[in-house]
Amino acid sequence: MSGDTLWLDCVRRLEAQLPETDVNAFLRPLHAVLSAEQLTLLAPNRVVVERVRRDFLGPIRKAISELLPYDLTINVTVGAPSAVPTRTVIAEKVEEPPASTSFATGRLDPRYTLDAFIEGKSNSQARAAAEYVAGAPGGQYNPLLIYGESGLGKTHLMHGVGHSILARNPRARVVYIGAEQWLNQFTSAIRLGRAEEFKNHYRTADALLIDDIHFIAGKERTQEEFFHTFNALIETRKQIVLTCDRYPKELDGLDERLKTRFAWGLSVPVEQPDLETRAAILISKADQQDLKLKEDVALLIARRVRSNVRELEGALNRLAATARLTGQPVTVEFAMESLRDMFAVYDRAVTLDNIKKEVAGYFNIRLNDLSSVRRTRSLARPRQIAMALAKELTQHSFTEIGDAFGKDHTTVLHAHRKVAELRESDPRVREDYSNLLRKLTT
Amino acid sequence: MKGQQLPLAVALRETSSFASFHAGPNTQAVSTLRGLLNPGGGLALLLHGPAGSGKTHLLQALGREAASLRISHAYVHLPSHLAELPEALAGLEARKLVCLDGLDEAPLPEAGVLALARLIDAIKSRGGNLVLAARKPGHQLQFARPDLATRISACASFGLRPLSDEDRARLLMLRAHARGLHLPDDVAHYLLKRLARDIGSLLEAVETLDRASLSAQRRLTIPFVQSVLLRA
Repeated sequence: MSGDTLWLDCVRRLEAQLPETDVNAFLRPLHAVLSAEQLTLLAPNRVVVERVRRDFLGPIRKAISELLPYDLTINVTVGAPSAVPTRTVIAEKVEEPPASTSFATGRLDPRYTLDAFIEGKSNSQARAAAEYVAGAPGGQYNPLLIYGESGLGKTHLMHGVGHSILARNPRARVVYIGAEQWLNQFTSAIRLGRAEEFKNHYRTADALLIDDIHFIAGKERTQEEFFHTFNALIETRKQIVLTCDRYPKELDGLDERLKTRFAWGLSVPVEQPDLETRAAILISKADQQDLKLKEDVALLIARRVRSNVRELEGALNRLAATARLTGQPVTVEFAMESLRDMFAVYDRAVTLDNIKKEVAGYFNIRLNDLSSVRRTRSLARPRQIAMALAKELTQHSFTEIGDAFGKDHTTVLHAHRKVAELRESDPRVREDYSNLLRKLTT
Repeated sequence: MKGQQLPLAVALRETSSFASFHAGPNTQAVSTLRGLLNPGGGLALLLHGPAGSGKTHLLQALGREAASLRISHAYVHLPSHLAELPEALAGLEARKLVCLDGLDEAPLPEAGVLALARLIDAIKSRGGNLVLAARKPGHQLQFARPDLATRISACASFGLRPLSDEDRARLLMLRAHARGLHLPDDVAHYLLKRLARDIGSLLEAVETLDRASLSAQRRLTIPFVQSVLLRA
C-alpha cells in the first residue's frame, strides 16, 4: 500500500467526522509517504502543518489505527512529493532475475571469510568462537553473539561463519539480514497478510545471521516475533549468529527473556585493534587490492589511524587511488604526502594539552593535579595514564612529555612501562585506557 | 526596443560534464572519479567541499559519462527523499555506479541512515562503485547512528579545494565559451573583483550577461558589463 492510498482511505473516514471545509482546506492537500514505522504527511506550508498538528492529529491517528493492524508514528512536515531529477536510475539492459523468495535477504560479502580475518589480541576470542561455531553449527555456542563498536569487524566474522558453514555444506540455508530489514519485512508482512510466509522463511533457516540486533530494542512486537523465531531455531539445533553494538545485558529496551536466551550461548567482544594488528590489517587489505604495502608504510598509517578498521581502510583506499593515478611507488614519503590532510586532523586532535584535558575530565580531577607533586593513587594513576597516552598518541619525546607534566623523562618512561603492565593485569586500567584512547582518536 | 533581439525565455542549460568543469587544484579528485568508469573498480569515494564547490556537477558529469558508456548507474540527491529514503535507495546495489549527493545537507532520519549503511555494504560486496558527496569531511559528519559514519570513513576521501582567482577566471571563460560567448580575460577579472566570489554567483552572472549580450547584440566589454550589472 502506498502512503497516498492509505491517506485517501483515511480522509474518506475523516469526511464523516470533520467539517467539509476543514477537510478540503487542510487534509486533502496533504501527501503521504509511508515507511515501515512512520507515516509522513507532507503539507504545502507551515500554516497547514500547525493546524493539522493542533486540531486533526488525534482523529488522524484514530482513523489510521482502524485502517492498519499495527502502530505508526505520524509526522507532519512542510514538503512536496519529490521531483524526478533528484533520483536517476539507469539500469542495465538485462536486469537481475528476481530473488526466489519475496523476503529478500542480504548477500554474504565474498571478501569476508574467516581466513581473511586478521587476528589480534583485541578479537582473538571472537575469532576462535566463530571458527568453532562454523565447525559445529547448532552446537554448544548457540546463539553466538559478537558485540563491539561499529567498524571493528563484527559483520566480517558473522559473514565468515556463514561462508564456512556453506563451504562444509553447500546445501545449507544460510540467511543473513540486518535487524532493521527484518523489522521492515515483518511489518510489511503483517500489512500484506503474509505473516505465516514470513515466519516460515526465517524459522526454516539452517543458520540465521542477524546484524545489529540492538536495532530491535524498544520494538515490542518485533522482539516477540524474534523470540519465537529464536526458540524455533534453537529447538531444532539450527545456528543463530547475532551482532550487537554493546554487551546485550546493557541494552536498554531489550526484553529480559531475550537477554536470558542470549546468555544461553556465547557472547564475545571485538575491541579496537592494537598497533601490530592494525598494520597487519592494512597489509592484508592492500594485498586484496593488489597493492604492495611495505611494513614501514603500514606502521606509519596504523600509528596515526587507530579508531577503527574502516578508517584504516579509508586511508588505504585514498593511498591506493593516488598511487594508481600517479604511478608512484608507495613509500613513507609518498604516504605522508597523500594522506597529509587526514593526518593533520588526527594530529590536531591529539595534542598534549588535549590529552591532559580529556584525562582530567575522565577521572574527575583538576588539570593542575596532573602536574602536581602529590603522589596519592587517585592522582598518580591518572597522571601515568595521561603520560602513557601522550607517548602512544603523539610524536613527542619522553623529555618533552615530562616537561608538559612538570616531571623528568625517567618518570614518563616509568609511567609508560607501568601502564603497559597494568593494561595486561588490571581490567579497570585496561578499560579506562581504551575508553580514553577512543575519546581522543574518534 | 528597436534593435534589441528578444532572448528565448528558456536559457540554454549547460550540461554538467567533465569538459565544462574546471578542475584547477582538484585534478586528482576529478581523475580518480573518472577512473571509476574503467573496468574493474569496486571503489568507494567521498567528495567533500563547501556548497558551490562543484560536487553535484561532478556527480552528474560522472552519470552522463556512465550513460554514454552504457554503464548502469544511479544518482540520488538524498535530502530530496528524506521521508522515503529506504524506498529511494532500494535495489540500487545492482548498479555498477551509485552516486549519492547531499549527505549532510539535512539530518537523515534513522531509518534512512540504516538503509544507507546497508546499501554501502551491498555495493561493496558486489564490487560496485560508490561516490558520496558531502559539504564536510568524513570525520566531521554526524548521523543518527555511528554505523554509517564508520562506513563513510572507509571511503577514499577527496576534498575539493577552492579555486584560485586565476582558476576562477578560467572557469568563467570556459563556461562562457560553452554558451558560445566570448568572455575576454580583462572582463573575467573585472567580474571577479566586483561580484560575490562563490562559484554559483559568478556563473549566474555569466548567464545574465549571456542573455543581455544576446538581447543587445553586444560583445562583452567592461563598459557593457558595467551597464548590465548596474541594471541587475
